Amino acid sequence: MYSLPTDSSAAFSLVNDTPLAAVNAVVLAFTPDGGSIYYQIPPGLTLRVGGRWTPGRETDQHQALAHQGAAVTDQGAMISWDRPDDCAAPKRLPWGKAPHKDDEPAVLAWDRPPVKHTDNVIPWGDAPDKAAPPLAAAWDKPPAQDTEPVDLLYDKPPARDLDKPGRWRSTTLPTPELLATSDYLIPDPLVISLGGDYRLPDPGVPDQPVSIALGQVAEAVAAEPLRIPADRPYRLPWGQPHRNNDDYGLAWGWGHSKFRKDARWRLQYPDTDDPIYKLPEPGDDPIEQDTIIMANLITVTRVSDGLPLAVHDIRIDLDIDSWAWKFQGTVINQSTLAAIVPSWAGLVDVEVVINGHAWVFMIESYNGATRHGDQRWTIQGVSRTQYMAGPYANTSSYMNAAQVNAHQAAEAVLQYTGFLLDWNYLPGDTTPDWTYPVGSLSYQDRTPLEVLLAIARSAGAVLIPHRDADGWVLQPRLRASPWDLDGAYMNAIVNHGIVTQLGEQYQPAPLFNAAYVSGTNYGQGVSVSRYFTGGDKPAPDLFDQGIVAHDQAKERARQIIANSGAHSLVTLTCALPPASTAPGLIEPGDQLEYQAAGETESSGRWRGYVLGVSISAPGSGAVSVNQTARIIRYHEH
Amino acid sequence: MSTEPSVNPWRKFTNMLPGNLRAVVTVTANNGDGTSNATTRDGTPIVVKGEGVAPPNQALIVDGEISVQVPALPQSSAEV
Repeated sequence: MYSLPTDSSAAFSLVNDTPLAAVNAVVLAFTPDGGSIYYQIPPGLTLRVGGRWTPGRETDQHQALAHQGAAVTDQGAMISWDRPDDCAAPKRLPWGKAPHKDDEPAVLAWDRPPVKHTDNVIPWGDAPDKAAPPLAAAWDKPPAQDTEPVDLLYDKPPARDLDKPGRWRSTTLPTPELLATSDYLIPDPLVISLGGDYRLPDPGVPDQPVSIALGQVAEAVAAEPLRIPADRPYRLPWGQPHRNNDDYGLAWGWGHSKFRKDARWRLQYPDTDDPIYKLPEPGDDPIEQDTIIMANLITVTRVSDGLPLAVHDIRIDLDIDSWAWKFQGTVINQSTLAAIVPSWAGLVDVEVVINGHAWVFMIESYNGATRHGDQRWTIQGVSRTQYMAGPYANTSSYMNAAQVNAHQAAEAVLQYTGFLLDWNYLPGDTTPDWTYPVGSLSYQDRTPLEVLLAIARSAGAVLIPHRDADGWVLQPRLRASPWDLDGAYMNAIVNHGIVTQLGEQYQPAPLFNAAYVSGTNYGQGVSVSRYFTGGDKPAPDLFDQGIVAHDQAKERARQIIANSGAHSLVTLTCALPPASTAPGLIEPGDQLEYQAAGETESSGRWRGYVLGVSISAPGSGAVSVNQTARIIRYHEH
Repeated sequence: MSTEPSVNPWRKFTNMLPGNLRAVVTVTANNGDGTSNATTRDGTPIVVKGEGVAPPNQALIVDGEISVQVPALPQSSAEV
């Protein structure tokens, strides 16, 4: 315990072995006053920090020595850099990893300095953390850019130049206040001790508070103008410009004078004002008329090997009641005839293409004669559909032991033959399907085509053979009834401008508006009448053994009514344009519209059904190709 | 027999040929002289050759002569 002396003065000694570098003054005054001792208010302890690591004074020698010891350790490491181990030299890179002990902060004597006088020392706490990273970083790995110089690309710009820079935002800008206080970090915790047993000499007021303020006199930092970044404009990606094709450059230069080469050519200038000759009086305005120029292309080849054949005077025919196209031509040399005559291998198929329309025929026969200086044979052919009829097809007998649809029965006839039947070839206006009861479909020694015709004709349908495929289209003889023809789909529209010849033959015939169609042993009798007519003009009753169903009989009756009445057979001749140009190829079974100058029937517009067509290409070479369609017009419906 | 107008030579030729008239009649009596009385579908009485079908059955007649007996089929009507 400390006791105040009785004298009026007393001596105090403050032991201070620890550095108090920043303490300006410590004043302790004890003033006796009436038996009481007053103490002066402890002065404020002002700490001014001017630098973090100012050179230590003498009292800092211990700490300085401690730092010196660490330098010795570092020196040893530096020696190792100068003289690397011989055995390890080839394997070590000169800028390799620093010795392990340098990376260990514990090895360095940067620990808390030894406290010599712990009782009266104001420790400074741990060293600031910011002092350690520079030392460690100095011995770290070399910067990455020093070790990878090969990544620099000199022949093309960096990839980032090719991309548009992304949009960026401004971050929080450093304010002057933050700049003033950010350098100094107050150690936490901050411990200040004024000696071990020291007590303030104030018996009356023990444990007087002592205010110690640590701080930094913040100097006024001149507020720098905020550098508010402006938006950088987008950098356009740049690269090597497109190379112009120099080969297409126009070769320019002096032109050649035609006049100069032709010395005899001279401009004739009349030397008189009078006209050289009298101009004729202008006539009437010419009449503008359209001209259609057809450039026909005909090729005849052998199907097996594409051998070109010299065939002239080609004629191709089909009517609505035939099941095969017919072909006729003239051969004028022996080699062509030898290439297409039937042989032991069978009939020869030839392909005829006229303006894009292709047919395939098998040459059935030829006839002709050879005279001196003239060789000429006429050849005939038919579509390959003839193979399903006599004399090529075998006959068979059949009876349906179960119910079968007509469509199925027709396909069964053609099974394994390679020929196809398109029943529903056209949308709408199709022949209905029906069902044969057991035993109702029976035939004996019939070819497949005879069976197909019997099935088709029982419902008033026809078989239209394909031009260059093996098969038929089964369609109604008249797809749309004559009284519905104005709203029906037209397969071909013929303008009068393309027609070279038009003939018409009127034929009277009775008109019916009702028909009775019945089977004989199967099916039912169906009395069919046309709408809104009352059926007062019935056709003769029709009994057909092949009629077995209601829909079948109804369709057959519709054909009887539709094909009645006075009619005209029109013969229309026009060119044969390609399929992309109207009217294209007019085929039997089509519904055709003829357009004269007007839009009404009185002005020459009418519609009809195509019953047959003939294509003729007389002569050879650049021949003229014409198609002659035979069309039926019904007048009374 | 179909009589549709045609441009096919064979069809035009067959359309001109007589015969092949087929009808189904109802036999009313066998006359015993090789003929039979019958009525057509609309009730018209006719005389046909042949007595092969006994009344009141229906017979198929071809060109005016009884061919075979046929069953009575159901009747229906339709409009087109």
